[in-house]
Amino acid sequence: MSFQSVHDLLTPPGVVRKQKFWDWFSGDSLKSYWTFANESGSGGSGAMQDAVNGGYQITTDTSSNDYSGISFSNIANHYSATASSFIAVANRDSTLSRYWAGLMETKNGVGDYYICDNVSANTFYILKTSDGGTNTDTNTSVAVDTTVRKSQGISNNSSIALWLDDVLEAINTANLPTTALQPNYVVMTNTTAAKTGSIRYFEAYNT
Amino acid sequence: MRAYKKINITFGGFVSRELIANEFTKATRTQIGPRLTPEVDTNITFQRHPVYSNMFMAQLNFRSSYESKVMRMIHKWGGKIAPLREDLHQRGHEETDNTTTGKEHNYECVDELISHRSF
Repeated sequence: MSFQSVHDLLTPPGVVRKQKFWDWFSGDSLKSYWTFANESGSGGSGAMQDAVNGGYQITTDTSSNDYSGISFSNIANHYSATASSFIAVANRDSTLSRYWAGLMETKNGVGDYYICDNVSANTFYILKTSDGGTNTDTNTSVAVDTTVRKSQGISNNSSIALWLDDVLEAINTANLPTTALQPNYVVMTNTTAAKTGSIRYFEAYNT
Repeated sequence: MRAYKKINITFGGFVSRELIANEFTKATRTQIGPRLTPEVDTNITFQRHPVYSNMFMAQLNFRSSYESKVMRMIHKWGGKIAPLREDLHQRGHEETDNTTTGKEHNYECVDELISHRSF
């Protein structure tokens, strides 16, 4: 049996591999390609959890709407707005909080993006897309909760879809991003107390 | 000024969510910047049918100028207009109540609701 290269194992013959990224959030520290940052409030933190399926946990500062997250620090926007996909397996750990997972132009959520938004102030998970800061929300039919869920966003040249736990839930054709994007996971508190959220898998690729 | 309409449609049988999504949002040949305009300018939420597991509902918030296309699509795929879920927003945006509570609310941009009639 001949030895297959990793490229050939993961890519159909005759296809040149496009940019791809994945992380299992395993090990004793966050991988160097991620950068943790407090975007609002200075007392937030992030750490690997010492627990089964714990992944990486982010804790926010303690003022309402403080948020912290991990991204490529606006340095490496590798992913196309019109032909890409992300998969995130994440949750937030309690009520009165929020997480965003997806692809963004800037790490603080300004500019273009398409993300899965789980905010306790809303009744349902949301597909949120933005073009230059003007955003549109489309509800899914899945009620917000603290369960770990797999969210997948798929962008093509005319629409963006959000799949939750492998079921197509929402489609946007309005306010779609147009510039290159980077992976992002953000946790926010919606009350005057620190809140936490955890992520255990993230994948992004150009299609 | 753009106007938006909202409708909830039941599909069933051999029709899948992916097929309906593709029918409504597939790209046309008109290019604006890096994107192609969709067949119908619409945001869609898919829901499970409350009774039948082989059926589903697609709630659309679409630009009013596409109404004839939407109606044609309903006819083509055997859709039936269903009661609206007004709590499900397809073209929502957040606003913060800065006057009193600071609480965020999600509002939907919609001008006309198209609903079923029970006979």
